[in-house]
Amino acid sequence: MAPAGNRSPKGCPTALSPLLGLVMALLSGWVQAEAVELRLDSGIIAQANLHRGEPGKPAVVILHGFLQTNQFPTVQYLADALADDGYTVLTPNLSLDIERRGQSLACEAIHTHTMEGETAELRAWIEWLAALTPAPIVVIGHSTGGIQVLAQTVTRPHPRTRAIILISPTYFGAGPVNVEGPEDQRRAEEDLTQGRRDPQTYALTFCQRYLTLPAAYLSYLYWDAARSLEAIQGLSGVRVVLIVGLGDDRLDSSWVAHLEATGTRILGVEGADHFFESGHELELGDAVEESLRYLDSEP
Amino acid sequence: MSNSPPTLSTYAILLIGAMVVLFVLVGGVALERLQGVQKQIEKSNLAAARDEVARAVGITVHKAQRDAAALAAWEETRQQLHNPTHYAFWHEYRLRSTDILPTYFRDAAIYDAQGAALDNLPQSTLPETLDVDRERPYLEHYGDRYDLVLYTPCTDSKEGAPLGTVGLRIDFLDALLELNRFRYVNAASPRLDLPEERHYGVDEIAGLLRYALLVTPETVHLERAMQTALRDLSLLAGGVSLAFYLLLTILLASPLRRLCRHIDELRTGGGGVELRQFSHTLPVAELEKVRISLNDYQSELDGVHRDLNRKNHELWNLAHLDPLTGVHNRRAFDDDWQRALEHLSERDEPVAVAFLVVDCNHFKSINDSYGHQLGDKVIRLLASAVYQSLRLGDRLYRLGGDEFASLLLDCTPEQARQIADACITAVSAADFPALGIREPVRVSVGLSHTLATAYADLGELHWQADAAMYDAKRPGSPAVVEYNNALAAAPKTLFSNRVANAVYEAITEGTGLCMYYQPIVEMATGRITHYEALVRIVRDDEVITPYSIMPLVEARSLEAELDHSVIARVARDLAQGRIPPGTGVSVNLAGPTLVQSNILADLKPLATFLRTYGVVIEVTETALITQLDLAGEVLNHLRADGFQVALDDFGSGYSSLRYLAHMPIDLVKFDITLVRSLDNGTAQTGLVEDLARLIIKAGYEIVAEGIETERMGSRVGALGCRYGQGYLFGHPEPACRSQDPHRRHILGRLH
Repeated sequence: MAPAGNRSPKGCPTALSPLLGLVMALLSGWVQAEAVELRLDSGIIAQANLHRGEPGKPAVVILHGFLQTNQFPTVQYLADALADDGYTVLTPNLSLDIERRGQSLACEAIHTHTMEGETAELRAWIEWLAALTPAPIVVIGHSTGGIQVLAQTVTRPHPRTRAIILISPTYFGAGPVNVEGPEDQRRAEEDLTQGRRDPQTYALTFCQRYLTLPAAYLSYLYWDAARSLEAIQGLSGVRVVLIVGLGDDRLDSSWVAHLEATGTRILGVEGADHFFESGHELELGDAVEESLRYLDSEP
Repeated sequence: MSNSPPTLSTYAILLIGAMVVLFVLVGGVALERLQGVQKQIEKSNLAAARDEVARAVGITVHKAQRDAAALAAWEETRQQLHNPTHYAFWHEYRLRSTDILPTYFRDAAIYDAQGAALDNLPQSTLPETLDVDRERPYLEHYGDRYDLVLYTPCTDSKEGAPLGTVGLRIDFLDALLELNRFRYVNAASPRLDLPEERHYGVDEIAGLLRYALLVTPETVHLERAMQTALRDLSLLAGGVSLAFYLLLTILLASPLRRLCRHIDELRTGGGGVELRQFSHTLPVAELEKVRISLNDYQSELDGVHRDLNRKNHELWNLAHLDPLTGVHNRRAFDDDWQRALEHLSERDEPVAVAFLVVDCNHFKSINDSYGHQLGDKVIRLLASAVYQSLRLGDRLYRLGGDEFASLLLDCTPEQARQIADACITAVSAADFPALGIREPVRVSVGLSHTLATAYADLGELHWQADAAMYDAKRPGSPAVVEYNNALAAAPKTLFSNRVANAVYEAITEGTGLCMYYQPIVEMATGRITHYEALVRIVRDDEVITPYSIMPLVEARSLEAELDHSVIARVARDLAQGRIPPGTGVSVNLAGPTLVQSNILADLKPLATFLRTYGVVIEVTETALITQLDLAGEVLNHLRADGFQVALDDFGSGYSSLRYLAHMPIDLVKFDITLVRSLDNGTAQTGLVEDLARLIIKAGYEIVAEGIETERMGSRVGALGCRYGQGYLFGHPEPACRSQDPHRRHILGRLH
């Protein structure tokens, strides 16, 4: 695991890190993003923020985590940082079947969205970005968003996607940090078999009570640890970089270690948590830019 | 009706009562004003409550509208609007579990753009369709509650195009109470009483609400504070009043009462009892000063009292004790006499009572001869001797100059006699010579006694004792005479006014003075040689004898005056030839008369008759002659003038031989007691005979007195007595009868 980039010294003084993070967060607001919309095939209009960048640099799509929005701090900061550096950045809000969704969706809400739908939506956004700029596209996903980026790259790849960067990737299904277990999968499968049409309550990632239809639930569970691992290792034509926080308590370190052992480029940020907060935003930015440069430099 | 002023405690209670009344009045006024203030506050609160309710309704409606707006803006609402597939599930499970709606919401519904509910939920309380344009918030009575129903359009977040409508039903009263804090309205009171059929606009709600005013905390506090203050003031006033009353009682009333009691004890203490001073220190300075001043005054009073007592004692002593002798005086005698009478009246049984009267014989002579100073010493010594003869507890009273008396209670006649004899003995044994008194001092004692059973029994005792005493004074009487029936004829008053007047008139004017003459005969011849002039006073055809005259004369020391009158009367009788010629008269002179400075002048009228009559001056032995030298000179003078001197009552009085030795005597008149003893055949007979012979041998001639029988006459004659006198030879008779010639020779037969 390579350390994070050199843009900022590693291990910023702890006392200054929150302050810097705050300053950067405040500054990020000054970077004006453009709100864009996309009508999906379902007819729902999805929203995204766009930072138009300098030509010659890859365009970046940053996808948020599960049920979140592009306003999530990790995404927001990263988008602003990359936009400052001249990158064209697109941060879509997955609609989750909600028109112009702009708020994070509660676990207890009725979830009708599926993994397939979201990967399709992501594909649509990449498509939209590809139409906007000729630059190569790098798709970045945070947390489960990383798995969704992976799923989209695997199931609906876009030819303009040069690389994907998975930040703190969190697969679905049983794992050391997820709440769902084999019982949930079994029950979902049973509910599906029994043809239940009403939303059922399952556990998924951090949601103890996740109301969804069995099929939709299972669409996420499909992208479990093994599947994700396999997908990463089976990628071709798209480079992948993993950026993890070495202080992330949601990280399946054995899964990451396995990936590292298989030669996947993994950048670790010392002390950063799952969200790269408390001053680790800069290091994340450095890591992403370093990855972008790396990916850009690679043939 | 008592006119005594109220006590300090009464004043305190009145004052406390007045304070209580005043306090109640002030409290009542304060309470009334408070109630007025409360009414004003209530009125103000009512207005404020109305405003507050209106404000609360507005807030509630506004909040409900925001809630509805929030619901409308909620992305899950838009999710349902877009895909109401699971609306029923979402409505039942999600809508009620989310916190996007308040706790007081009762129902919500999402309507599509056409106003149709996304799903016809059977339990929905909202209409299935709604007229979006006309639906405004309203209040309705739904079931047992009052709900506010309002609808809010759900629009596209970007374009604002209406996506649908959300309807919201909330429990208006719950919302009202949850969203508002009331200051003037009682939070438990808002209520509505509306029929179910109508919808009420939000503008009407404030007017429809019924509510009760919240008791204003300030008013409550004020009232409570006022009540607390009044209660505390009451307690304080009560406590202060009680403390004031107790303090007044402890500091003032009680000490004052003690002071008053002490003053009362001082006032009623009764003479002679010294009260203990008020020693307890008083807690108030002024009272303490009063106490100290009272104690000082009491000390002074005690001193004055003691002085008064001493003075009283002294005065009593002065009043009741004879200053000269120290024995009790006349006043004490009168007081004791009265007490004795009262004492006797309390006794059930008769009481033996004796009365003793002691009188000094010839005290005037002693006093005149030796002077009053020595006379006082004689009286003192006399009193001491008599007092020591009494029983322990008996009192001796000095009734007169030389007269003493004693009332002997529970004393038998025998005991009284013994006491009287003891007096005689004591007086005889008293050392009067040490005082310079050469003459023997003798007393006469009169005794009376009775068995007293009543007051009247004692009344006679004094004059009986007096009578006995004066009887004892008579020549020949024993020194102690007990009253007897023979003395009963004595006048009740020895010195009755009648006798006294008669004596005085006789002395001063000669009125009634009549000389009786008793013949003195020569024993050998029977010839009357002299007549002894004996004084009588005739008053109202009553002859007052020397028995009555002499005690008065001696008591009043009128011997010289009487003798002077007698001399004048005898001289007149001589001048009137009432005395037979060739005889003589024998005139008695008292001892005091003899030493008078003018005696020779007084006797001059008799001296003129010396050529024709023999005049004998009789000096009685019983008369104490204290100035023998002077008496001797006088007698010598008289003898030189031709008078003869006879010593009368020889043997019955004072120092007969001494008189014979010191005075020029011609005749010795043997006392009747001596004469009688010649006939009793006792040792005394021989003594008298020898005495007679001695006297005769000394050259004196003897006149034997009291010859009443011929035998006695013979005896006397045989003894050698030249002269004789007595009833045998004749009784004293007035001068007119003394010329009876038969009398001259009556004695011739005696030889």
